[in-house]
Amino acid sequence: MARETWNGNWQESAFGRIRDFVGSSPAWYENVAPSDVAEDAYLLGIASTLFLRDEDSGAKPNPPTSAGKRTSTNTPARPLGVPPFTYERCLAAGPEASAAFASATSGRFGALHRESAAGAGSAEAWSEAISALRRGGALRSEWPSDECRCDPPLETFSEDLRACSSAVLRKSMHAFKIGFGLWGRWESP
Amino acid sequence: MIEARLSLSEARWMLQLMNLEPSPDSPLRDPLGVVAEVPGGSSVETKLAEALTTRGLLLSGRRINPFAAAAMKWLAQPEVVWNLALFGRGGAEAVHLAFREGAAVECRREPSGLRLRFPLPESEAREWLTVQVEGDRRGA
Repeated sequence: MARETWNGNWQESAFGRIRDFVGSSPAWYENVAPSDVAEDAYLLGIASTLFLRDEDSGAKPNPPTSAGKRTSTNTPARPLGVPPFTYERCLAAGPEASAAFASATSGRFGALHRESAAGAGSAEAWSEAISALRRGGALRSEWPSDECRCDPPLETFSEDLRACSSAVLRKSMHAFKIGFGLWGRWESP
Repeated sequence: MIEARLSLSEARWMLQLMNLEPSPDSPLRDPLGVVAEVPGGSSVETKLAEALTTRGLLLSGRRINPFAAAAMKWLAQPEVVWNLALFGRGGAEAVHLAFREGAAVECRREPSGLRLRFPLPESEAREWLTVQVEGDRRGA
């Protein structure tokens, strides 16, 4: 039966010592040369970077380059959304409703209001449409806000702790996978 | 601001009345693709008309409320569509913003159908834009 030998370089022997260190006494480092300790520290330093993100490492983000800037400064950005419109003033036909209808027809309150005013055809029909929406409960005084839309915070300490623990475990498993992947090569003489 | 809830059948029937077909990038294309056309003169059509009239989306003479008609036109044939997936507690929610000439209609898919909110105010559009840019920056 062929005897398997471990032909490793200094990194592989360092990994082997780390593996043995897991089951050995804390006094293990007393019997090794300072250079071996330096090697282990070097590897642990590399491994510790697995737990860092770029923004945690203190690296400053690259300044924006001129190539990324918009070159056509003559064309202004198109506005998004429409200015606020008070529907309640159009519930009854009258001069105020007629003025609002004229403003909407001219596009002052956005393309959607202009389209709806054109669809209504007259100030009276415009008022009738808004009144119908009000009777049906479709009019809202303001846009309802969605809470926690982008980044919902954790609610309780236990959830926070559980999420933190799972993240640490996940990253540790990732580091172990990389370590076993680097373990080395077995060669049979 | 106008908020309207529509079942898929109601949305389909409104498009029928307006003689509109959803464009390929319309947020209505997929959900309404599985809904059959409502036959004219049927009892189903009568029920849909009653329900829409109750909510003010259909006027006398089976005229679609011009605000609802504009919103359906925005959704069926948009110039630009933002499709956003919001992830949070309770699962993910798909939100579609259909833009034409800078104005937008928000459309959310719900178990019972569609929830429309329109027109999108400027402040809300800025916030949505921030969410989209932040999401892109984070690789979302």
